[in-house]
Amino acid sequence: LKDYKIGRRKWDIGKLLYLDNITPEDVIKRWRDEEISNGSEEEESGSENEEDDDDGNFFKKLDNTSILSAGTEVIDRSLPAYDQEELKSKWSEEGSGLSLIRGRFLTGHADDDEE
Amino acid sequence: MVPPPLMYTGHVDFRMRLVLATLSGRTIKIEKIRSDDMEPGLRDYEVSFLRLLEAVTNGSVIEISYTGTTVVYKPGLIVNGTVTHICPLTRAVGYFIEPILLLAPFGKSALNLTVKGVTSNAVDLGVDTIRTAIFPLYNKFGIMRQELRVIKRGSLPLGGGEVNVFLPHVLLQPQTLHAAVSAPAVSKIRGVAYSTRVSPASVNRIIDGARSVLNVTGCETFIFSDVARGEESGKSPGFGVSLVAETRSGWCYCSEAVGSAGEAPEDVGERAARALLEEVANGGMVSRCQAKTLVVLMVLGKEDVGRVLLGKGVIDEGFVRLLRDIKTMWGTEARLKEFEGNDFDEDEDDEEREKAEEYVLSIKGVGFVNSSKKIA
Repeated sequence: LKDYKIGRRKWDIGKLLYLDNITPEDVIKRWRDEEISNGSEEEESGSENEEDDDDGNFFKKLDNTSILSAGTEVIDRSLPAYDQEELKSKWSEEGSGLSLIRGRFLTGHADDDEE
Repeated sequence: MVPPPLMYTGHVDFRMRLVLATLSGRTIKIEKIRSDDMEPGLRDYEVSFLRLLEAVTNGSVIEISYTGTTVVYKPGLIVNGTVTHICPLTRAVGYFIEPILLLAPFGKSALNLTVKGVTSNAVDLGVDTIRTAIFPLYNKFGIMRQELRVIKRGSLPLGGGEVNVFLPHVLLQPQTLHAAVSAPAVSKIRGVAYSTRVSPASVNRIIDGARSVLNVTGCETFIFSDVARGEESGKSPGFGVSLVAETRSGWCYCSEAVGSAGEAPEDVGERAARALLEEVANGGMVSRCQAKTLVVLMVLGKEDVGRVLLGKGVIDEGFVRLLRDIKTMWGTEARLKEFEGNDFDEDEDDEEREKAEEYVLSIKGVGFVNSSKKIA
């Protein structure tokens, strides 16, 4: 898996950050899409409604914001929006998430092994 | 001599832009606020936030155009003092407290803020999260002694909550952060489950739900229950939970869930617990809802480069927008670089543990100084 990752062409987020001709939404899209197409695990969720005609919808979404449930940032929210179904499967007993948190939790009274 | 106002378009990041303007002392003009909307202009909560901003500052000038689609804000000095603010029910009190937390440490005196309204909803930071996860973040920057007291809890739709926030610590500038090390391990999980005007049993059901998901961590978990009774339970029935995964080094990850109509308490607990696991799995030092505060405090540091580790999930559109806004305000740029890890256990662990993708954010502080505080 490691080698595969290195070989792939990636957008460098550090470079994309301040390219003013690219909107912040596009920055994230480019940066993440690259990886989605390569089939790595992803927690992005913004694919529901703007998939169909990309650009047209994209700008509309920003303007038409009277609906509270629209995008994440649009209503200036502080809590992130999660895709509940995805999380449910990810964190179920045999979900894919568990390997991600292995070693991140100190268990029981084992006090100082890790750090 | 006065520099022209900075121009922004639209209502995104409304609060943050006003906060940055106040801190940087720059006049800003926000145009085209929902100008294509059926109801154009500022929403009630945005106007309410402007009022609050006016209350904690002295000499601010706020001009709202006739249609409400343009705002000019000329910031004054942050004075703090004792302020009572009645929030509209459209947003939770967290919407108002969160940006104020960024301003208060750089004011003239202590802030004693009482806010009334909805104490938790599904989009704004809940009061418990602010106390248990946001305050520790401020501690990392040397901003201490915050207090938040929930006097009454208020659920949607009618609210009726009351919260007192006391921020006595006024300082010159935040400390520089050096935290580009591996994400810390979680040593314990804490939480607060609350209910208002529903059977007290629902709190226990929330806790059971959360524990059932968190069991896989094997981590010590304790969730407090807070059943608001009588007067302290606001005007509407509701329940929710806020969870925090604490590490020894003082960083913490948080998540929150609020019961929606017809939802079982167990599900609310499970939702919050899964979100917490997600945040921990994301890696880095902070969870998503803490990231922006973190960046702003880093920028305000003295002229020295601060570094912090961030999980990939933290970096989203809003994050990019914030970094760009910071650039327009102060002209300082942040660097983001992939984190390669700094150690040893790479080989043994690798098969069983997928590494979260993490980035190191480095920002040079702008040498901000609190304009009301004398240098002793």
